[in-house]
Amino acid sequence: MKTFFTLFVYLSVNMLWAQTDSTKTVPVEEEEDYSQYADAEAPEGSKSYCTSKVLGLSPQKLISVGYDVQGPYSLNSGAYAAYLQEKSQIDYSHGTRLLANFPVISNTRWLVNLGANYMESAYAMGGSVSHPLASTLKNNGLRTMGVNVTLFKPLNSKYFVLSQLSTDWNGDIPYFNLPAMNQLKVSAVAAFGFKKHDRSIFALGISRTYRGGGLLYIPVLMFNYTYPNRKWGYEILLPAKALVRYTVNSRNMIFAGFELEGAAYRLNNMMKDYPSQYNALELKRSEIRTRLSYEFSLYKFIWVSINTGYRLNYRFAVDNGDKYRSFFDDTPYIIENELANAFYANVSINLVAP
Amino acid sequence: MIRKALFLKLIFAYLFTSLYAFSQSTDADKILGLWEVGSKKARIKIYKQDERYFGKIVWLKEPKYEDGTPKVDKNNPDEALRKVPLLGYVNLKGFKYIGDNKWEEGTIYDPENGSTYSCAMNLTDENTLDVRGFIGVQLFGRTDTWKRLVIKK
Repeated sequence: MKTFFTLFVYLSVNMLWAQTDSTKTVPVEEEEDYSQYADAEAPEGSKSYCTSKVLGLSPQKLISVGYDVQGPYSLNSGAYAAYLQEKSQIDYSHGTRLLANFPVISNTRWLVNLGANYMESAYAMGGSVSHPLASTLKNNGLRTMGVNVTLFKPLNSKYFVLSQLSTDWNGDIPYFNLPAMNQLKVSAVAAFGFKKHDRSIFALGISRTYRGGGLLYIPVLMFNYTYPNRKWGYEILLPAKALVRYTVNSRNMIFAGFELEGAAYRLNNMMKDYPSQYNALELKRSEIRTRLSYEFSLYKFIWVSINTGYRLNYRFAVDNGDKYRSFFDDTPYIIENELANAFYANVSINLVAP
Repeated sequence: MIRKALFLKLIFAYLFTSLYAFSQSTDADKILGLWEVGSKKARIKIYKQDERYFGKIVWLKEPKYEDGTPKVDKNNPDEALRKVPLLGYVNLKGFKYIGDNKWEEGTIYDPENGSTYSCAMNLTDENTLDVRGFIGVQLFGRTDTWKRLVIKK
């Protein structure tokens, strides 16, 4: 009898537990007084942290496959050793641009993105060329392969630290023929910022960058802002880019501004074919691209980006790769070249983040 | 005597499975309540229906347009749904508790761009919910951290 009673008690209790707690279940159809949710607060001891997200910003590209073309323009290669100055006509230069960027850690305390990029420039030149620089551009082109990691660390609900570390292999290198590790170019950013509200984020810091062609240590400024009407905004990351954004609607955006692109390319093939008295030769390339862009959602998370503008040459000079040049160093480069300006176009298809 | 021992074993087995089921149920229900999204623009009430978890928008920082009319789901790809009010909109659907403070198999709708994403949620502590919207696999996604709110009495 005792055993049966025990069993009855357990069964009853279990049956009660099996019932759904009606106080926690709100059917969709049920009418609710939403005003009660206005007067809510965080539980005691709960801390909040700012996020990197800014309302209205263009969607983050997780994967991007693009094609870039510019030209025609002329290259006047400077005298070098026994080679005289030579003018070449570049019908166009073009290449694929691949980008991948994944948020691998994303929580209240940390945001860590891992990225990879690949860019190539092939030079279509008519006629024969004999100058070493023009020859290697024509025969090998230029490539950039890199990986990067970006860290966003909120300190509290307003302030954060931002840092990025990038390593790139740049040069006149063929596919799958990576240069030695000591030829890696390392760029870095460290910045301190604050998020005023969900439409504005600002950061100021220092960067080690090759965007000017050679290595530079210069300040970096980030300012992303969306006006209250959500139609207009800025996406600024100086010196890399400054863009004004117009949002037609959530699936169509227009941008105008400029970008600064640059890198130092190891000229391995040129060294191989034209022995040099230096340990390394590098092409210091830097260009300012005025930009007009249209980005739109093709289908759900697939966005297309179309960019066009005028490419202004800032630097296209060959230097001793072992030499560090400060911003104020005006000693002549080993090969001083003149690169004419040109129109460019760029189109990419992108998988964007939620 | 043997029958009694068997009977007791059955009772213990039943008791054990019931306790386990109860603890799973209470763990699963830890997600219920009011949450504020990372941007602090909206508050979502997560509720349970038919053993699945849903969430609806119950508060908006800016509930009305400049002309005073209530905000609607104007970015919905389905034109017929563009006049549905955002307040009360069920934007989290179909989550299942899989254990270890994780809810998966759901979707999240972003009224900002009219897109629906696969979604997984992770209760990192009692008052913090990591909501990851993603495309296909979780690597292709973004996490928004939500904070629990309690209604003032």
